[in-house]
Amino acid sequence: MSILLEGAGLRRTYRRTLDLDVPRISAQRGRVLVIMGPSGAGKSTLLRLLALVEKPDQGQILIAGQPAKPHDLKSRRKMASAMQTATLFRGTVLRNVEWGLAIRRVHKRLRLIRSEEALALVGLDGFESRDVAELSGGEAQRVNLARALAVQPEILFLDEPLVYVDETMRESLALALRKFTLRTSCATVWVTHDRAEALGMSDDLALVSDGRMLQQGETMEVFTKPDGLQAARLVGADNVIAATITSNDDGLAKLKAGDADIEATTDLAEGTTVYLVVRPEEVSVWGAAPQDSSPRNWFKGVLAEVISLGATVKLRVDGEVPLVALITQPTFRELGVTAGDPIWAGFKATAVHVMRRS
Amino acid sequence: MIPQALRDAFRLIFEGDPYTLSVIWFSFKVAFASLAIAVVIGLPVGILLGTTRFAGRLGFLTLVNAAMGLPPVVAGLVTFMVLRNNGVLGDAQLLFTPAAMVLAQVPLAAPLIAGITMASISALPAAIKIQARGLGASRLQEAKILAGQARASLFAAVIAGFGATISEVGAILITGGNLLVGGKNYTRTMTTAIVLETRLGNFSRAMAFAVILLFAILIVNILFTRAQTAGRAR
Repeated sequence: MSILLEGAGLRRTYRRTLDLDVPRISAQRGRVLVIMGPSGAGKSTLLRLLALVEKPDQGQILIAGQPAKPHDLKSRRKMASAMQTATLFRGTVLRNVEWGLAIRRVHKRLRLIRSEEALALVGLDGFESRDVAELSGGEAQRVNLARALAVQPEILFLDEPLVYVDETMRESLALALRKFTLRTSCATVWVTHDRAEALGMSDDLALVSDGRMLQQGETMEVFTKPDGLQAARLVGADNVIAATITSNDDGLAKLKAGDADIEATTDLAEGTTVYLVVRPEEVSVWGAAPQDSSPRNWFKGVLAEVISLGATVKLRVDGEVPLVALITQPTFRELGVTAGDPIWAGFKATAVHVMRRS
Repeated sequence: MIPQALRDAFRLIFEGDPYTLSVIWFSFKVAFASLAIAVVIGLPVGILLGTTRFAGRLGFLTLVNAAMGLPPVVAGLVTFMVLRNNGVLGDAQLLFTPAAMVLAQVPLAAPLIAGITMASISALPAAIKIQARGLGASRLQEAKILAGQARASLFAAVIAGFGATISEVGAILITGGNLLVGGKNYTRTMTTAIVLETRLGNFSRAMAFAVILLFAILIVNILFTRAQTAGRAR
C-alpha cells in the first residue's frame, strides 16, 4: 500500500476557537478514503486543507512524502476537486468540463476527448454544447463531477458528490467513481454525511466530529469496531451497553450489564468496565422465548417502537437490556408483532465489539 | 424652446455643419481616450482588490472609494497646476492640449471603474473561487475566471466610466481651455461648447449641443448594453 496524500498535525482556528484538529489522515493510491461525519463537523474544511485550497494554521500536507503548500501550483495541479456547491462557470457544459485541462494547457483535441470521456462517465453524453443555465440541480452536480474527473488527477476530492443526484442515478454514478479510482489509480477523498454511502463507497474510512478525528482505518474495521461512543454512534452501531467483565475464560468473557448476564469475546481482563457495541443488524428477534440456546445473549422485552425504513424495519425493544434490531420487512411480517407486544431480542457473543470504557 | 433646439440639432448634423461635427467628433475622441486609459488602470486594480487580500488593502480600497467622488474641477485644477509653465511637468508644454484633457479625466474615471469592478467581484459567491482553486488554477487564472463571471458588472463599470468622461466639463474646461485655433476646433467638446454658448446667450445652439450630447450618449450606451448582454441565453 502506498500513501499518496497525508495530512499531519492539521489545525485551524476560527474566531479564536480551534475548529479543526486532525493529527493524522492519509489517502492511498487506487483507494477511496471517505471522510464521514455529521454536518458542521469540519469535513469540508478538512477537504479544503487537504486539497491545498486553504492554508492550515498549523501542520502540513504531504504528497508522496513531500511537503506541499497552497501556493505551490505544481502540487495543486496533481489534484482536482468537485466542491459541494456545484458552482459552474457561465457558458457551455464543455467549457466547464474542459476548464481544468485548459488551465493546464492541455491540447485542444485531447481536452475534447477527455471531456467527452468524463461526461460519459457521469451519464451526460451529448451535453457538451448545453448552456449550464439550462441544467437541473442534479445535472449541474454531475457536470461539476465531470469537470474534476476530466483532469484525471492523482488525487481526486469529492465533497458530497451525490447529494443532489437523482436516486436512480446515484448507485451507477457511485460505481463509476469507484471504477475511475481503480482505473486511474488515483487517491480519492470523498466527503459525506451519509452512512450508507460511506459503507458502500469507501475502502478506508475517517470519522470526523466537532472538528476532531475520531478514527481512521479500513472501512469494515471502523464499522464493526468503532473506537469510542461517538464513533459507534456515527457508524450506526445503535446498541451500546455499559457492562463489567466478571470473568474471562480464554477469550470468552462473562459480563454483567445491570442485572443481565452477557457473553462476549474479548481479551480484556476480569473487572474491566467496558462498552459493548452491537450493530442493529446483528440483533435477532423472536415472538416467543427462543428454544435453541444460541445466541446465549437474549432478553425478554416489549416492542416499544417500529420504524419502517423501506426494505427494512427498525425495532426498538425495551427490557432488561434495551436493544435496537434491524430486520427485513418479510421477517417482520412473519413475526406478526405490533408495538406493545412482548418480544425477545438477542445477539451472538461473537457479534459484540467490546470497547474499554475510559 | 425644446422643439426649436431639436430642429436646430438635426439641422446642424444633417447639414453637415463642419464646426458642429468637429465638436462632436472631438468629444468622443477625448472621452474614449480617457476611458481607454482608465479601463487599463481601473479594471486590473479592481480585479486585484476584489480577488486578493494583502496588507494595506483596506486603506487602498478607501482611497479608491474616496476617489470615486473626486470633484472634476479639483482634478482639473491639480492637472493645471502640474502642467502649467512652472509646474512639475511644465516642460512638456501640454497645457491646453487634448492630452491635458485626457490626463485630467483619467483620475475621474479610473477609480469609478476600479470601485465598481471590485464590488462586483467581491459579490461573487466564494464557492467560485474555491472551485477554481480546487481545479488547479493559478492566481491569474483564478482572477480571469472570476472576472468572466462578473462580466456584465464589468461592462457596467466601463459604461459608468464612459458616462463620467463624456459628460464631464469642469476638468476639461480648465485643462483644455475650450479653444478654437485658426478657426478650427482644437480643444472644444460638446460640454465645454454648451458652457460657452450659454454664456454668449446663444441658447438655441447650446440646446442643440445638449440634445446632440444626449443622443450620442444614448447611442453609445445602446451599443454597450448590446455587448454587455451578448452571449447570454436570455
